[in-house]
Amino acid sequence: MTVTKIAFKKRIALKLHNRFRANEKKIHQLNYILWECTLRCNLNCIHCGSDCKKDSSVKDMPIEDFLRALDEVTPIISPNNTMIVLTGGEAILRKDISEIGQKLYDRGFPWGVVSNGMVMDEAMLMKLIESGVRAITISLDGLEEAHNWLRANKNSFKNAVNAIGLLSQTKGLRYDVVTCVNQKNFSELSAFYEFLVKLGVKEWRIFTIFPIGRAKQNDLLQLDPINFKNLFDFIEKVRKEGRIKLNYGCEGFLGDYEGRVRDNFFFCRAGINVASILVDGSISACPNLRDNFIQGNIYKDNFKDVWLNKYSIFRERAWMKTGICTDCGFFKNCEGNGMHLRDEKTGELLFCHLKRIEEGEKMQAINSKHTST
Amino acid sequence: MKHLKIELLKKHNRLISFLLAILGFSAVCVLNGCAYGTPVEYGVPNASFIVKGNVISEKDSMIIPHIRVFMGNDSTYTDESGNYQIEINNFPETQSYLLKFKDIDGSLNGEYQDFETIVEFKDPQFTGGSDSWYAGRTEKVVNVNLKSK
Repeated sequence: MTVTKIAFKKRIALKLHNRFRANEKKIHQLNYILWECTLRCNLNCIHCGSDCKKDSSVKDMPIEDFLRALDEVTPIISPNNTMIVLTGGEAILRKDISEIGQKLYDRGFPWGVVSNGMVMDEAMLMKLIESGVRAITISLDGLEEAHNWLRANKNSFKNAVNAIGLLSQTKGLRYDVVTCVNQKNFSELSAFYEFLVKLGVKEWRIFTIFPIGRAKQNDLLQLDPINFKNLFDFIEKVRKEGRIKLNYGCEGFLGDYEGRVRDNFFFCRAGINVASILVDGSISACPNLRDNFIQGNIYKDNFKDVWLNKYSIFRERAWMKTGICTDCGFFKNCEGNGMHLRDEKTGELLFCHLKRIEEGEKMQAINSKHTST
Repeated sequence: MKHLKIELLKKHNRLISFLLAILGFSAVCVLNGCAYGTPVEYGVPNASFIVKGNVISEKDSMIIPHIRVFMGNDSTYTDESGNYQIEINNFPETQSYLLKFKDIDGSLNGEYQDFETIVEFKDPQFTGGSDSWYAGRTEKVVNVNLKSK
């Protein structure tokens, strides 16, 4: 069976899901806000999609400015049901991280933070917990050599693993590990999986690196088509074993792998439920959607008005039916892939997951034909 | 008028979620983590949805141990008395789950056919919640008779 041959039951489910997604677009309920609170970072990762520097010349956004925007949008959201995620840069480098957390907590917002784990020691963790953190994500990209290569720092693995160890001993706090799979760590995925299980990790997410930012310059960051296809077989196998809750990330319609490698069907919620405030005040959908995807700026516009009246390019995605999407029979299910995979200037699709898997299947078939002859 | 339309769309989506659960696909209402985000379900109000019960043979009412029970992404096994308990943490509102029973130990305790059923928690009432985001727990009992193969 190939990835484009989808079982009848799943085809029915996907049709229902198309309806579900159309309704969600009309409801347009904001319930997830990412705040790029700093561009400062203590790592210089070779795949980074953002424009971070160790000592960024771009100033952190003052907490008061973000809270003002949040207060503007509060009348149309339910704070208890709206997650605020602090991202960067490395968000926990901010000296006022406790104050930020406490102010979000006081307003009733659950909040979380994405971290590389470099400075996530016991003191930092206590600081976050005391200011009401509800979720922490740590990036760990393989075993020591592969992780340190990607993060370009010889201590990054040790520190991230220490952070995960602390998190796994903290009762009541849920956390997960995110891994960017690439050519360097692909062959050790099984060993890495065992390592995470031993470490006590319960939830794991896998992403593949998309060709934007610094990632465009390095071929080692992209999986070849066969390994790309094999990755989904690996994820499915791990999910069936049930020792760790593994999900593939939020990008890419995956044909028959839908429903097998993540909890839900593909649905890019950027601009439908998700908004971002970038460090310069820009209002976007996800932090890696910049340029033409910017919908306003908190220093000029009212966040609530922007959410209610803009975001049409996110809610109506027929414009994405260009290039390789033009004749694709799965456009109704995919709607042009994740928004972050469209070129910010031209809107062209940069990467199609389904095509890459199909390519892998074809190459695998050719290889096995050669082997048998 | 607009508010009414939104409410109708939300109800429609709850119905779709239910139908998808019947087809064996779940969690359409839950945001999956984005590349820069954390899964949203972590920090919002949440509750424990617990399903427990007993599994016996339809033919002779004998208890059946070691039946694997699946709900969402979690699974468990019936114990030596044929009892099971499985729990999912989710938003404290109407939820439905597909519950699956599978005989995985071959002929050891008899051989039984797979069984699937939908468990619906409609407008659930919770007990034992905390002052923070945790709304508490709600339970359903689902006893199952498995047919022999």
